[in-house]
Amino acid sequence: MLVSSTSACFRRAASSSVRATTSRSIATAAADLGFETSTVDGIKIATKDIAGPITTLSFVIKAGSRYATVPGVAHALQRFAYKNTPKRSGLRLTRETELLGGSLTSVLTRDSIVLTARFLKDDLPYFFEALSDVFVQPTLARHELAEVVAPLLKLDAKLADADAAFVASEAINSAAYRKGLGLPLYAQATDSISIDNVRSYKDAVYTKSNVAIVASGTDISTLSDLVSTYLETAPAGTASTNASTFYGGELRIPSTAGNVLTFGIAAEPSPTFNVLASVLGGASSIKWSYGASLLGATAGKAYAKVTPYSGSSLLTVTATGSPAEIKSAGAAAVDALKTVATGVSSEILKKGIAGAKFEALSGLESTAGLASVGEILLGSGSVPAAAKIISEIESVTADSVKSLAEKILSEKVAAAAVGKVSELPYVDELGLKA
Amino acid sequence: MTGSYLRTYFLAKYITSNAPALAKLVTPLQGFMIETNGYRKMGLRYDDLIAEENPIVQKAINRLPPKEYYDRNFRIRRAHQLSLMHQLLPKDEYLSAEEDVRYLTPYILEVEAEMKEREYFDNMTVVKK
Repeated sequence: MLVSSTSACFRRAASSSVRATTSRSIATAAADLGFETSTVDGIKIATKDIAGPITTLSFVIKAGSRYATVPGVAHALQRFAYKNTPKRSGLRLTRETELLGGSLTSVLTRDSIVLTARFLKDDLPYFFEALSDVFVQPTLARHELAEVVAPLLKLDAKLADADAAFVASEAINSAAYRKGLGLPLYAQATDSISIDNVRSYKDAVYTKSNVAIVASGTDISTLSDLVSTYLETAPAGTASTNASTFYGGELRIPSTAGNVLTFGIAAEPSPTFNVLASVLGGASSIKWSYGASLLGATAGKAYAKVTPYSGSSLLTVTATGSPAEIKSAGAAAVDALKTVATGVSSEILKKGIAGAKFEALSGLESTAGLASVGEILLGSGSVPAAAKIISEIESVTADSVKSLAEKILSEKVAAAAVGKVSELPYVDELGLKA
Repeated sequence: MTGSYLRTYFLAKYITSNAPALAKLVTPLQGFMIETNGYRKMGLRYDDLIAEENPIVQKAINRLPPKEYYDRNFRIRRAHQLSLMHQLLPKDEYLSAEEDVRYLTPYILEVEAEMKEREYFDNMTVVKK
């Protein structure tokens, strides 16, 4: 019953959108990652037609905190997802989702707001329509901000404050970039956001040129038909842009949530970052073992990580534990960098490259991977082939890893210390410049 | 409670648009009612008289724009003062018919509709097709 009504809807959609069909480019397949991409009505779409009963649909929108026109407005807009629209109330959407069986999530990152629905395959038309409705015409009522959204903003900020690692990552972003990527992810207690701010931000960022639609579990022609049926009325707009300059400096934030010391540098995205992070390592990949990477010697107290943003990557080394443990782990991390700066043996490089390849490709898998694929699609206009990602990482040489380590040791870094700041070391005490 | 204001409002709407004869009969009475009621002589609007001691109207009042909210409080306090002093406003400060705006009604209707929807979803029966 449900299936037949679904296909009838598709036929109607296909016949009523002649203009959309002609403007659609030919779908191209990046076979190795499994995504087919296309552009419909100026909207970039990608889908992976995997077998299985569940479909995942993501709207990846370039509307993250780096583009916020008023501090905290991106967070407010993210929390406005799935609230009232002229077509249906937020309550109706929630109840109908419960009845059909499915889940709706919205995620805010520095780069984007990601609206994701997971549901049974047959319900794709309903959920596509619901998500486009949320994207195209949210009501954004003043009383919703006061009654529903503002308490959530406070809750998010409170929860985030209780997580020392998150506070440290916010602080190092602020030190590294100041504006743009340096803006806090969540609305702060000092921010005053009016509904007019949210409305004008929505008008600026919820546009065709800012959205990528990524799905798994459906085919490209079905998705194209739905896009041309439901998103034709979305405003075209212009793509958000935001420069990311690296500044550096040290921030120290007293907190009772725990102790964290983190330092690092940011630059244009380069596979060398990923390889160096993988060489330094520290994060355990097997239970009951800290691994044989350079930071494995700190027994899980320090690890290296690359956070990719569009236009910039942030390589950080983070130490956690008691202030004394952080002092020794921080010193060990600087020693590890010094070891790399004297030269990398081919075995270590090989291991680093293998780790970096796995990290890069596994980051494009699963539901969270859809958001990364969407961000890449918005940035470059195409989903990269796995072979290209692999060859880029494999082309990293021992010399480039060595000179990156030298750069971190000799140039100004961004750093943040969170916790008992009176006992935590300054990064210049560890032998770095801040 | 839910829906009661909604019903009265829609009854009035129904009469004015669908029963012209009845409306013709009732409309002159309206002017007489307002005149004898006298709330405009104390600077009040009709919506200031709606009983606010229930969750629906409380929520509606909280949704008023800040300026409307302030003005409402001002009108009510002024009326209280006049009542204490057994006086009316000077004649030129009586509220005119144009100033007697139904500023709260849309918010009450909105809140009532929301509560009705919630009630509906809380009591729905799912039928398998």
